[in-house]
Amino acid sequence: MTRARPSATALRRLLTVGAFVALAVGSALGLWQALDAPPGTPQQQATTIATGLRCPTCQGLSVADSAAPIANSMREIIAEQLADGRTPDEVRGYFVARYGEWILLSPRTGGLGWLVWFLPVAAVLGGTGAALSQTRRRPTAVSAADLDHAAEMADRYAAGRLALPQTPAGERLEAALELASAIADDREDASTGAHRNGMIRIAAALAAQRREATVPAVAAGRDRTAAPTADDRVAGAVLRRRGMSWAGGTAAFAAVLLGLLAFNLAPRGVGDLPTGNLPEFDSGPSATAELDALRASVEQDPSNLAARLDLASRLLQAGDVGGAQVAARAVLDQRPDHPDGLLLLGLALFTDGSAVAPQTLQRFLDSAPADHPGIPLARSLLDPQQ
Amino acid sequence: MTSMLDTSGLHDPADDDAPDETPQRRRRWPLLIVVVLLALGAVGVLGTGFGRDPTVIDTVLMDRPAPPLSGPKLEGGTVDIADYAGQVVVVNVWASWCVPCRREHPLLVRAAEVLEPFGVQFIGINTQDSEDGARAFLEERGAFGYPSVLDPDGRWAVEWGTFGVPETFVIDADGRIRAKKIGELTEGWIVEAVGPLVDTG
Repeated sequence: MTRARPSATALRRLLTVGAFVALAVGSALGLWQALDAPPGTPQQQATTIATGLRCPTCQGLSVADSAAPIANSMREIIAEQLADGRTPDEVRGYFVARYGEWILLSPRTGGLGWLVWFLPVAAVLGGTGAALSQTRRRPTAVSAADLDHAAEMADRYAAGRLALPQTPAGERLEAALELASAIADDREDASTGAHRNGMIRIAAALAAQRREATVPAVAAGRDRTAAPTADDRVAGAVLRRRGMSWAGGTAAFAAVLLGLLAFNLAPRGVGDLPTGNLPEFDSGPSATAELDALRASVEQDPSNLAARLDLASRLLQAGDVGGAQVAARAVLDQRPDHPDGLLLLGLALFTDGSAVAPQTLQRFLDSAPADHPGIPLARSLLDPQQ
Repeated sequence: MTSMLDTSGLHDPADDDAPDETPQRRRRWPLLIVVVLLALGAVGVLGTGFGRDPTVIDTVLMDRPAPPLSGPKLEGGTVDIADYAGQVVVVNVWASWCVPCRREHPLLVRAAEVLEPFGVQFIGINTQDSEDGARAFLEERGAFGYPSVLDPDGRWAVEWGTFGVPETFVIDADGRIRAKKIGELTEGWIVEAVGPLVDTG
């Protein structure tokens, strides 16, 4: 036994601690720099504020990133208030007073917002702690008899009354014994946990040695299942149980996730629209069946313009722009100035981004009666600035 | 130097937790309960969150004093909401390019007419719109019969904390916002929001 091993452990521990300290100092420095950044020019300040504000009319865009007119005037308001000498927090407060905390893209640190910041840190710390305690507590599954035997062996090894066979298992046992006595020599490391780990190592090496002895030499290392020992069975049971709890946990998580997803994707009422969006249409199985029925009636009676128009409108709602164009063109083949046909074709072309869409929409406006319900929509599409 | 290798504690069966499964299992119950509770909490939070329509946001201005509103109006001249202090005021944010605004236009015209004898003043905010577009809209659909503040760059829309068009606010005689509607108006909503604030005798 040499003193090389304790110094190796000490070196390893020093490296680990050093790495942790470096990591902690690095992240603290980063945080400090991020939080304590110099205020910068008013323009930089304005951009920072705008980046942290949600554009009210957009979907998930910040005021800084949005080209919407309202975002533009919000940027102006920010610049003006900063020029008036207000602090960034006061400027943010102005918007929060009008839109609520919703307007902030990153939640505040006060109130419930504190949870959002704290929970991830707590989860990482808790998870690391749990993982560490798990790996420390159960390095290997060994039997009580082996543990008793291990202590006995360690005593004998320390007293120099032990001859070990020159087999792989024997060498492993010797290494474990050497490590255990090294731990015992090193006062700082002689905690019960470290000591137990040493014993468990020895016990595991003992079990491995026993396995090697019971398995016939020819089959060694290849056919272990031929003579399963008590340890193998225990280890197998532990593995099975662990696998089962993993599978159960994963299945439960997947079930919850799927349930929430289904709940979220379930069709909502379209009656109470909060903004000026056009209603979404149900394109589920019943919609497909209706489409098929309409296609059938169009095939039966090609002169049925009402069915063709209905088909075109439903295809457009379902997102089948090409199909809607075909159906609308079929109407126009029979009645070139049919307003509904022109409107639907125009809408389909517009959705498709076609350059001739304005022409078609204009033809619709020219041919439609004054009280046609599609006129405002066509006008607004033709001239959004109107 | 004490040798930790011959501690008698090692042979104490009570100290032993590796091979015998029952104590370990018993120790895991609290952990399991905590995990289940956390999962239930997460499901609850996510469930209510997913159940809510994310596009509906409660206004923080509710029951607070109404923001100021003044400036040039579409009809020429200026208008100031302060001139109607002590009156119930309905503020409607609109634009000529907004389809639901077109649909609610006849209702607004009629409501302003019907409620005028009860001292209810309507004011429009014509937001993010061109003057020409707004005038064409009124020519085509008929005038509102009440003034609309011009808000081409949406400054008043921000001041009033609006998310889009149309939006409608009801302000009571004390100048506090008492109701807000995002989206197209209905007759029922106007009756419900304005009715309790006016003395219908």
